Amino acid sequence: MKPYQLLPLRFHDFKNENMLLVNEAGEFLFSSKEEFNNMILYRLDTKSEIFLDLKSKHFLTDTEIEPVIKMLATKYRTKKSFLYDFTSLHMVVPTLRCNSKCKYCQVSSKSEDAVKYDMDKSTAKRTVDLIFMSPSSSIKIEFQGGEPLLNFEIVKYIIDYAEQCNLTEKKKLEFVVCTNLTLITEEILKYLQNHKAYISTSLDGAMALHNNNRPFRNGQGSYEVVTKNIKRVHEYLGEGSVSALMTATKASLEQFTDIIDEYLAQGFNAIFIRSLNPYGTAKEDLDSLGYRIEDFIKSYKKALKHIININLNGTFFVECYASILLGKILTPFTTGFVDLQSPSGVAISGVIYNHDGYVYVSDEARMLANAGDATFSMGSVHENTYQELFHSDKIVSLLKKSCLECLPICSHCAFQSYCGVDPIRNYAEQGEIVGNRMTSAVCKINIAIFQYLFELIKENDKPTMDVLWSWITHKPIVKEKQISHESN
Amino acid sequence: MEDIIREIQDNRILIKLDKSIYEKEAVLAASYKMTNLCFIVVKPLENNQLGVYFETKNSQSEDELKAIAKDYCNEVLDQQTRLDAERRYGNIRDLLVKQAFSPIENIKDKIKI
Amino acid sequence: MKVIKSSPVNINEKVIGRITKEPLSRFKRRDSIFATNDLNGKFAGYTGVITDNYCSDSILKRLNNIPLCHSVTELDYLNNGDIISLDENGNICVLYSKDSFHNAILVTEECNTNCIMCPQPRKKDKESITPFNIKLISLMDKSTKLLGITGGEPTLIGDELLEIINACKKYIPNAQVDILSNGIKYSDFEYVKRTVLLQHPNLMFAVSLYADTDNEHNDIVQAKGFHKTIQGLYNLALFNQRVEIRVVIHNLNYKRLLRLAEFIYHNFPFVYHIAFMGMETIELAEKNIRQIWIDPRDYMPQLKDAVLYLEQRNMAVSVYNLQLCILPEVLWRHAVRSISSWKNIYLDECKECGLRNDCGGFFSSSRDRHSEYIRPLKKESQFIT
Repeated sequence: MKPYQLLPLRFHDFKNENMLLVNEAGEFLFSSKEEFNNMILYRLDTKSEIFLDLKSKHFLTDTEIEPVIKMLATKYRTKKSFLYDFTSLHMVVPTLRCNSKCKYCQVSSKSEDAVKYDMDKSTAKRTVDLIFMSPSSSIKIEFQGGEPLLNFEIVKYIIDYAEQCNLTEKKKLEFVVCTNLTLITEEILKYLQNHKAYISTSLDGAMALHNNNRPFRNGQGSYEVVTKNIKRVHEYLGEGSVSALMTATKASLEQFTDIIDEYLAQGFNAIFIRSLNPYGTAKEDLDSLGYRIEDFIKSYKKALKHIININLNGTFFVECYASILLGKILTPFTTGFVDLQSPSGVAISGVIYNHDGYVYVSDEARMLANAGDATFSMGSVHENTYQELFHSDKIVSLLKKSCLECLPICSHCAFQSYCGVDPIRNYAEQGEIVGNRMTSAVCKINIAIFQYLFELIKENDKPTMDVLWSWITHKPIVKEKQISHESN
Repeated sequence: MEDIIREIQDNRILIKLDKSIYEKEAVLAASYKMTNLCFIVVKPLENNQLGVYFETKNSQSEDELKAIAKDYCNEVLDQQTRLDAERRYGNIRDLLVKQAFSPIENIKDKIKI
Repeated sequence: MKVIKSSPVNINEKVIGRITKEPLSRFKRRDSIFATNDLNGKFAGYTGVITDNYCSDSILKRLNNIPLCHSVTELDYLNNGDIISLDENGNICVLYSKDSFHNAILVTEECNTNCIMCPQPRKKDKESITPFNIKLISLMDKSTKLLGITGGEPTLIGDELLEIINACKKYIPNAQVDILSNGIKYSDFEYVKRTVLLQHPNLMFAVSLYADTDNEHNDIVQAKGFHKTIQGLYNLALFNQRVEIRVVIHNLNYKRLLRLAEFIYHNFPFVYHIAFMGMETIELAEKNIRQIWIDPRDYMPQLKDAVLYLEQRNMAVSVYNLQLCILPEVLWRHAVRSISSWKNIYLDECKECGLRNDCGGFFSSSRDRHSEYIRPLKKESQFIT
């Protein structure tokens, strides 16, 4: 008779004779190798602290089974609760035209006057109608491009029409405009303010770096215009109204800390450090833009250390990717980050409606189509019903192949609970949607980042952990007033 | 790997796979993946083995053919691992996918023409 | 609750009424108990009369059959609007203090657990006290902000508890009603549903949990309650009810307090508040004192870890029944003045303490059993909330 029953768990050989254990609900525990061996050999003393710790965290049970399974199930459902609501992120491409020609452009943007790449009104209306058929109680409409401001008329039309539809639907409705910020006017700012829209932009670093990566079509640098407009937006719409992300290229890897300082200087309190995605121009130009995975990881860790220090010195500043991963690791909640979930967020969590009415399972799928590969098209807003678009055999079989729980390597990975699948990325990089984890760049990067975050968690330095938690809870650390007192 | 890959004649190589380790399904799936590079045929052998025969398609050299065969070994492992994962975890995957689409079961939409 | 002694006259069964210190007109006297030291008036219509004067037989003869308590020991303690009961032994129980924040009613003395540190003796109810309690609630002031429902284990009276909640809804509609429970009966989904269907606008459930594993919790509550309590918490959460978790700290559970905090965060992240509480060492707690006593100062490191853990995760946490001089400073902002005034005392050491007005003090039963480290803090100390 075994003295206790083991429950489903995954484990990882951590450094220095430690093991990282993760249960089915994503709760983790560090143990020594010896304790781990004793556990799996049923030799643990059921009165020991480590036994109680493992029992408390539902890695094993020596008394009841059914109520423990119930508790694990409850926590599991919470982690997967993003599945309850279906698609909440709806990206819309008002135009593929762009006034810039970023070196790594993934969307194969078109020149400014190519108006046949604009979305027309009937496509826009049908798009919004479809968006509101989603059962999700919260809808985020995110304008991507090209450069959305080049077809601001349609952006306005969509926002106005969506708000009108929402009078009866009463969903939580949010708008985000992704723009390079070079075409901002007073009129546009006023409109965005009235409709409480957020802005997302790209800033690749200080002038030299930014201009090198993101010139206008005529070759001129965009840095001055962009930074001037960032100030305007902050003044007009307030702090936190605009967020920025950066795309890492070979040139920027050595300069992550400078880029972060530049973000601070421009008034941002957060950065999203993105590695290079292999689509569009980026794919064609991988030689000059690309970098080794190891170099990216090294730079990322350095950047994270730098950002933590900025926080320790009193300024609230978040690295968004780490913040999302930490939310998955440390909290019992789901995060709603559609790019890293299992099942993958393609179609069921995020979807994109192109200017021509074609619908794609993700922005990456759209980028592939722009470059000539329409494998992941769901259909057209003008020709297909909602069910045909979202519940086709194609989509169902795509989802079936995007569950980490059932993929080789991932099914046993200790980080499975925190990770996710991007089948389009696998297809783009490795030729098929399941892919091979051993040769996957994304897998390598994510494992390295997970490993690093867990090292920080294990170290448990209170100031550092307070910083990380301040990112998760969005509550900046308040410096404690020192109360002085002595006893009589 | 030399004793696993056996050259039987010019432009032909044989790999022997133990049936107790590699299922027919995995062997065939991996073989199919190589069909753009070479011609493949699978035959049962004695001692509970499967023989996978490779023949050049695009005039590859013997070394190139050997390299293809080695890749094939990894590929058949990959396919077998996928089969095993499917067997063990297919259930939970199906539950998840079912849950993923359940919110839209009843959504009706008509195209206005 | 507070009990005041007196000499009873004309009392055959329990009398309940609302204190009035001023005489009322004839038609407004129902349910009122007149507190006076002038026995010359007419008292017809009052539910009762109490006085600190001594009443000789001749005075008593003048009075009719109105229930009367004389030679009341602490008449000044009582204020207008307070609700008291008078019994045949002359016990005046203060059931409700209009100006107090800490009112609570006892709905049963029975319990389905037997917590090793319980300060409330378990007894069989002779009869249902629900009619009495409903009467009590009907006399409470409409402005009442808070009412605790306690016991024993309140849910043991089953549907009568629903009647009580309904009475609160009717008579004290602005009050938050806190049900103090071990949560076991709430593992019954239908019972939770019936409770929620009452649609009381401001209900809170304070559920006790003492350890992160079943054996350890069950050893403390001396019943197999752990998983039922958890199911109760889940059921309440399913109906989106406001739930608080209460943890009484003592020698048997202080070591794993941080683990309990982790357990609460990961399994019950929906709770709106967690309270860590110092022990009240009377009744069963006193009987078991050797097993459960620990100087509270000695568990401060564990308490600090547990509270800061939850605070880091944005959970609302409070510390009840512990004194500022033994709490680490970083926990002062969580300390609450939680002890009901009628059993709240301060020690001699507290006379010189600069933070006396911010500190919750002690249970009156702790006069002879408290931390060895109680000492006054300097007058210049600033208490920053």
